[in-house]
Amino acid sequence: MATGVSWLNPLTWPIEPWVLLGVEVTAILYLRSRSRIPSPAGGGSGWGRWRPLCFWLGLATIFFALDTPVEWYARQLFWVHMTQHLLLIMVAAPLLVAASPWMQLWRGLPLGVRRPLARVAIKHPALAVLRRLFALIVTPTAAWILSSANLWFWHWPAAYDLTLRNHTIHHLEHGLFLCLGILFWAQVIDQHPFRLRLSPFKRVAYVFTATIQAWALAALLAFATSPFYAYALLPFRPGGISALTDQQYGAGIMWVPGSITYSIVFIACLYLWFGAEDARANSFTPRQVGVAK
Amino acid sequence: MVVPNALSDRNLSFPTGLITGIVLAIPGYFIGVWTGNLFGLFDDQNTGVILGYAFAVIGFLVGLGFLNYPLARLLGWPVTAVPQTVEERTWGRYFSLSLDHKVIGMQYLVTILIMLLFGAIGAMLIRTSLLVPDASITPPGQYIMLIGLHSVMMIFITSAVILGPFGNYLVPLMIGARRMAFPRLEALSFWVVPPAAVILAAAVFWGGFPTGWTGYPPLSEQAGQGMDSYIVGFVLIAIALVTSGINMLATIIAMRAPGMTWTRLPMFVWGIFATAILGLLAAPVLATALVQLAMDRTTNTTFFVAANGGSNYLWENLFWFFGHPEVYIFILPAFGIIMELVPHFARKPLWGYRTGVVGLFGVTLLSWFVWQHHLFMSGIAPVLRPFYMLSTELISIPTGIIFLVTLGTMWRARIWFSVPMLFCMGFLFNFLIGGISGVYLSDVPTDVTLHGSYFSMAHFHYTIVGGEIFAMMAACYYWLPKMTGKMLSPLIGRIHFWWMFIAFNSTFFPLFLLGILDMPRRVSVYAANLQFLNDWVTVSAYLLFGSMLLFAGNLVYSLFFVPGIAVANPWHARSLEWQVPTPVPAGNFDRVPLIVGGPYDYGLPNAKPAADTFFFAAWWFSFFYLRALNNDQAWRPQGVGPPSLGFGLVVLALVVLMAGTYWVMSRALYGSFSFSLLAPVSLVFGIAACLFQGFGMWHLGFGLTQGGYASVFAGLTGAWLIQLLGAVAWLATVVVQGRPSGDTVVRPHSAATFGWILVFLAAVGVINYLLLYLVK
Repeated sequence: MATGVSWLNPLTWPIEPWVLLGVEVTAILYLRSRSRIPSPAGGGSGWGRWRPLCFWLGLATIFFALDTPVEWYARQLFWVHMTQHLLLIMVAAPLLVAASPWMQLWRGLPLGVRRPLARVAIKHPALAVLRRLFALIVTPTAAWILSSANLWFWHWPAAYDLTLRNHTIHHLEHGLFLCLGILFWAQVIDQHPFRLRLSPFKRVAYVFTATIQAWALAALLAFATSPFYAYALLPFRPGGISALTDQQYGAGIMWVPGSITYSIVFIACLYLWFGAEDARANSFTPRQVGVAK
Repeated sequence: MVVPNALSDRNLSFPTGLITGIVLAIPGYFIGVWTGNLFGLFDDQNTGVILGYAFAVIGFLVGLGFLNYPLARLLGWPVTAVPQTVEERTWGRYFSLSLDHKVIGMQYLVTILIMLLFGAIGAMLIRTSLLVPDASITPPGQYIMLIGLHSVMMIFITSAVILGPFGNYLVPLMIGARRMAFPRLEALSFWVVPPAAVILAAAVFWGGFPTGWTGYPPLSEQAGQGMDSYIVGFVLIAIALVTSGINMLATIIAMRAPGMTWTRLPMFVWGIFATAILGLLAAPVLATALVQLAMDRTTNTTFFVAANGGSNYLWENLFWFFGHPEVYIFILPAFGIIMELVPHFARKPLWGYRTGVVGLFGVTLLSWFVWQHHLFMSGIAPVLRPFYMLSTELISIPTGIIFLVTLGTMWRARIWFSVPMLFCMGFLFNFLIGGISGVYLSDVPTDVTLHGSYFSMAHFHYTIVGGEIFAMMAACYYWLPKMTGKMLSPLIGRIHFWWMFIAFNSTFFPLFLLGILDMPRRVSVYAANLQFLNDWVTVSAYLLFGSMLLFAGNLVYSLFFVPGIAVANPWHARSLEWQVPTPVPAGNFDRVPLIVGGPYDYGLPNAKPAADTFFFAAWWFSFFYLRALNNDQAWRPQGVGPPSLGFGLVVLALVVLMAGTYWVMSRALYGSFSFSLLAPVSLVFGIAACLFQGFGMWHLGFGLTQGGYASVFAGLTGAWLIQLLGAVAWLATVVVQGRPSGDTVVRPHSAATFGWILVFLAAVGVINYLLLYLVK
């Protein structure tokens, strides 16, 4: 690599301080509470050893996507950039949701910080509007609309090219992808101790419709006959491919590998729905519906 | 609410029936041709032929009596929403408009079998032509006509061969319902099929059409009037698929008997359910593409004319976006039949019920994004091909799961090898070959070599004939004792199975070899050294035809020469449809109470907009596709543009006002002041919107040949206008009869549902405005 970025030498990686800091602080909070209090593994069902594994894999994915040579390639290749986004939305976010680390991260904070923070967050009258807003955006409909709108917005050429020029905006984009990704998956993946609002059947429909809109975006890029983004201005791309080919690769990646998480969760939700339906069938006796005999 | 006597006593005394239908269809055809020739100045009578077919179909349906009910509602006469079916066992009911799902199922079965005979005769003629390597038996023009007629006829049949007869007859019985959710829609979904077949056959008089079933432009744009048969016939089949899709979904969601929970649903019903989703969403896209083709051929728009702002790829994408789900419309009901029958004859519970259903839905989901594998050789971006290859190969996973479930059920079972079970085993054998050869074809390098050869032809015949038709035979032997009251002879059945199984494999397996030896499809001339194999195949095909005749003989024998009536449950099966007596009583069940509403808020009220969304989505896709593909000049030449921003805004505002006032009205009380006031206001807004929009379209200021934008503008606003006219007709119904007869006619439920449809139309108008008026 001409510019000196090498997979073998981490010192040459394009480390972003804020990303590294965020990942490290999260990791420390998680470890702190684990060393201090027992994890809920002892009590409570639905807690497995796989949850910490999901957590670490999720964090590692964020680090891999944003702080390794992946980032360096993403500045020159559309398809790597799309892979990077998919890693955040489709890998890191669902892994973090499945890990449900929220209580543990919270307990990682010192008690002296937690108490005033909680008091302000829950009771301070100035924050009432924010609380109401938060209650609104965590509803399934809002989560679906926000995460889809976010996805489409950043593929609008003007917004996209802005992220290539302006690093702050670029960080904002990645942060939004991750946070709204977590918000999206939190509606369908169970996370301790929160309860899901959607019935099992609605979860199936939720994932199905989201899949369709993601495909529509991918199809739009796949069928385009000219490159949309400022990448076209680069004199050279790694691999020597044309800007249009690059865009079509990106679209293909969004289309097929990008659907894998959707498909897995879709099928899992179907199974859950059948489980709920079986339970209903077993508790169903003729007396309840008033059938004679 | 007081109903005036003067109105309530009246009733329609218009004679209706099959004869009236045919009598009205003939003048309808000539009126259509005359009207079309009056206006269609551009073309060789294409407008006349298309309008002739359309008017003939409308005349036929009116003559059958489809208009009586809406007319009675419009005029405020008392109507029965769903008349109680009465016990009448006359032959006449099979030849008239019946709302009994059992009669419709039998009508479907007989119609499909007759169509199958014609399709099979076409296949025999094709094989006869291939007895010799040159074109001495059929000249090339006739050969391609035979290919077109055989393929499209068979596509019509296979779209409906299980869904139509067995779906309509059995679904209500299997879920414990007395009828389908929308009996008139069900009747409509049948009665458009015979006209479709007749119209398709009429292509013979115009010399057929040269495109095969895919109808690719530019050939389909240049073809003669036989192509119009293809267009109108396929539109009718699309209508059948959408209407039966809505109906099946609504029935299965909302009309299951208490205790018939989702996890107790028979697998056949699950197969129909998944098929209904596919039909509901895929067929509107086909309808859009066909309307665009018809517009190109009659009004000289340029949707598919690459030289003039269009693109033939647009057709290929729209067609295969329908076409690939279509092949799962063929096979998912067959999967349902196999998974339904095997447990009965293995006498074991289905192994992996949930997994089987998930397999069906996995296929349903994946089928939407693999269609581009049909375009591997058409010049699409080569870098995209591996992704579609991957997605196509993924489909083999849920399909394999369905196989696993079936085989797992047979594992260590003491199988009862009855005739239906034999056909199930035949299905498994054939579909395995068909499915695995499909994995070969999804592979890009293999497809590049084998595309357009007899290999792909053998592949889809193995899945459709070896798969779907074998499953249909299994269903016939299994369920006809319930449907006709006569057991088919098991001895003839066994001979039929082995004969058909051997003849089928002997016909189609050598075609794989011929494909590898480079014999091309759709051409009657082939290399001389392939003659032996071809003659072998032709003789086998004659034998296959003979096995079908044996089946027909078995039907005739059992129906007319076997005395007595079959026992109610000859297979000792546990499922619900066998627990009713044979023949099935008119009301199906004596005592089963019905669930009125679905447990989930998904389904009924949104079903129609869901199909319509895909209809408009296909238009919007066309907009973006042609816009992206063409430079500015080809897309929208100088001087072409929407009437004006303000004009469009006025029309849009009128539609929004119509929807808004209707929305308020539909939630007001009947007969209340706001109701009486708002209904006419809404109607006035609607009429004004239609007049403005029609005026705008009449004075476009540019010709339809002027680039892609002009075509999309005309098509999109035209489609919207037609639906607005439908909405105005409904509003007129509400206004005309709303006041005199109160709540007897327009029921609150349908009024509220229609509010949603108007809101949907307004939303479509907003998107249309954004695209057509604001996007450069």
